[in-house]
Amino acid sequence: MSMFPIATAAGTGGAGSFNFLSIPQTFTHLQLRMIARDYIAANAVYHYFNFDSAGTSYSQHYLMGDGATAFATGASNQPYFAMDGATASTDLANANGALIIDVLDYSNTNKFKTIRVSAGWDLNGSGRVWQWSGLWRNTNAITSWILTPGFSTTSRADLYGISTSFRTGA
Amino acid sequence: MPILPLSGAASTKGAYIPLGSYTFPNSTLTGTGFSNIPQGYQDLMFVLNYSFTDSVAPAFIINSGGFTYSITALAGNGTSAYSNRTSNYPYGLLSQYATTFTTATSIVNIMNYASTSTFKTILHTNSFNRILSGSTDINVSLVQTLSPVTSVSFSTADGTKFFQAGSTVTLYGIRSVNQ
Repeated sequence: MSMFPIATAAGTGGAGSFNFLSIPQTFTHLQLRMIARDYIAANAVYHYFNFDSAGTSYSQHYLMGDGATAFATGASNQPYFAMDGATASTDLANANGALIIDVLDYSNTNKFKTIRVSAGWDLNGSGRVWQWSGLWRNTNAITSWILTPGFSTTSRADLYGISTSFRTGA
Repeated sequence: MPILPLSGAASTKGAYIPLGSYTFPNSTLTGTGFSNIPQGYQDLMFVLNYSFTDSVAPAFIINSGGFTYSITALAGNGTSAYSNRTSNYPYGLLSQYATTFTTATSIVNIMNYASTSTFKTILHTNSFNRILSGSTDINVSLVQTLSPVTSVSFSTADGTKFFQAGSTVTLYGIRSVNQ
């Protein structure tokens, strides 16, 4: 099994999104690695697959620590994944959040799509760290992945494909 | 503490490029490190499989130190889940929880390590288990430096206790497209 880079995206400093389109279907799993600072005073990382962003197909649950207390909560029937993980534009300068998102069997048309997310930011006196699980109740293969609301110019996301068979790659 | 030169990535395919590895040959060393880290990757990942000769937290330093480190941790010990924070530290903590004799596994992701425009955010996990106790934690650390990471050293937090013989540390570079 090996991991291969597919695409990369950089923030523009304004409203917008990281768009991963025409995702190759030749891998078995996907991993997204991201550092993020919102262009606004928020910690949001919203994301959705295949332009499905208006229904009720998403659910998510997390375990989170804020440096003092461990929390657990969840949300169901959401129009997209609504996660925190980015630092805000008003936070400590030069600090970014980090996210690693795994999607297993993304091209399998017999399964809903489950994601696992490790994420966090620390500002030397405050911070959050999470373990998320998420579900997209759709058996379509994932062909696109959009992340919003818009990120600083120092933010970036890198998409990788994970192959379970021998192949030459990037 | 030995500082190891790294081998090149050569023609390895894929995103994970092994850059170096070290196995502690005896139980008299307080740590190890990697220097001259190539700057041509997107992220760095360290994988540690280790134990100590006595109870102490595992620590790390980037570029020989001189920066402010902080960590937010989320942990479970088989009885409860809890969260802790350490701020304004002179070195980083791989975990706030000590490891003795039983082997622990730590996976450390230094994101955007070569950037000169961001502080360094590190996502890392640490887990160990004994028969009647154990701990697993996920952490985010901030190292307040805009310098690219050129060296990383790992040690026991107090610098006096030792890694057990057989403990290993492996460094990978994670490539993005066009790298």
